[in-house]
Amino acid sequence: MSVRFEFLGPLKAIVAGQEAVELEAGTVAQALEELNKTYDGLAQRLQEESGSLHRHINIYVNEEDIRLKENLQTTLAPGDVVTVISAIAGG
Amino acid sequence: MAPSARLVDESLDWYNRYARHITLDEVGESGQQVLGDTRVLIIGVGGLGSPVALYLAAAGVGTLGLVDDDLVSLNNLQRQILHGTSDVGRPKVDSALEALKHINPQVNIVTHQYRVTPRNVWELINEYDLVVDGSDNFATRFLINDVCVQAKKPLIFGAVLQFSGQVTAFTQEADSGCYRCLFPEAPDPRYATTCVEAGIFGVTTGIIGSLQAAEALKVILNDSGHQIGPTLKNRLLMYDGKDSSFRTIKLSKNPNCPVCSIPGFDFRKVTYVDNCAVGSPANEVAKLA
Repeated sequence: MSVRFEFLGPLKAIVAGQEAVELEAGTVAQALEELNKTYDGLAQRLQEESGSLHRHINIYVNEEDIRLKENLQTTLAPGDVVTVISAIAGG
Repeated sequence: MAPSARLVDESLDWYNRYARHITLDEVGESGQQVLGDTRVLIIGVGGLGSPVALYLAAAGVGTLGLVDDDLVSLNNLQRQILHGTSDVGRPKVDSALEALKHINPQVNIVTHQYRVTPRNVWELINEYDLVVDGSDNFATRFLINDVCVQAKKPLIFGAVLQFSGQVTAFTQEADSGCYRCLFPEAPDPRYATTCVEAGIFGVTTGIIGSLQAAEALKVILNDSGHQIGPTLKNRLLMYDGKDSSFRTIKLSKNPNCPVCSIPGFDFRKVTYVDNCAVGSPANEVAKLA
């Protein structure tokens, strides 16, 4: 059983508009590395050169903000739902 | 007309105008009176501020403060429905005032034709009971958040980009998170995308602004004992116009949030620099001191 990644709002374009992407990974960092192999530019949209998340990007594992967990080292289990959102400011 | 007859006429007008609210068990006559006694500040009368102001004026919120230093441009009219073609070149707060008085002359409209800054924001926000954020840049959004937390003013947040929107209610209750619990700091300007660059599907502002108006009314009524129902406190509602979907994400209060959790925060010690707004040079971001 794999992990389900959902990119919401403008970030959906990163995964060609797909509602969700399924993959297998042990941590959020590993999942991003895996996704970056398939989706060109994903790492630049989500991460700094150092590998840490851009500060306007939030990732939730089963609705829990990974900043309040182990950040990118947050572990993933089969069936987990990972949601990725971006801050927006237009009015 | 004799004064007593005029009072009777005004009273009948009041009942008639708000009849569909008063009929609701959750609002009633007392709820409508609460709305009439409430002062709401709308920061930005553009895409989001337009539907917010129109609905709050129609709903009979007693005083609406409108803050915007901008003039109406032709490219605003695709989504900023308070303003019309003949308003191009006029201050947005002036055309907004006219439109709102046309909808409901009973509402007191106060215009503030300037930009919200760290120097003027404290006095401004403290004149009102609730704040609605319809601004268009991160620095202003962080400033408004920080001051609302400090002044304990409920804040209704809304933002849009392309086909997407976000809305939530920061009620400032002890268990309520704030914008910095959601996003601790503004984006690096190298990565921030503005509506100018990315575009905005006009009706998105109508959807999100209407939701902001609904949240504002619910917070006001809930706070006065009229239990409408749960607000978006600690939930971020996200709208995607491409597939016509709504999602909510749990917004956890960060126990280490320097603004709403750690005592002693003062917005006056923070640097707020507009790095994403139209025409502004990219430089510093809104950093906590």
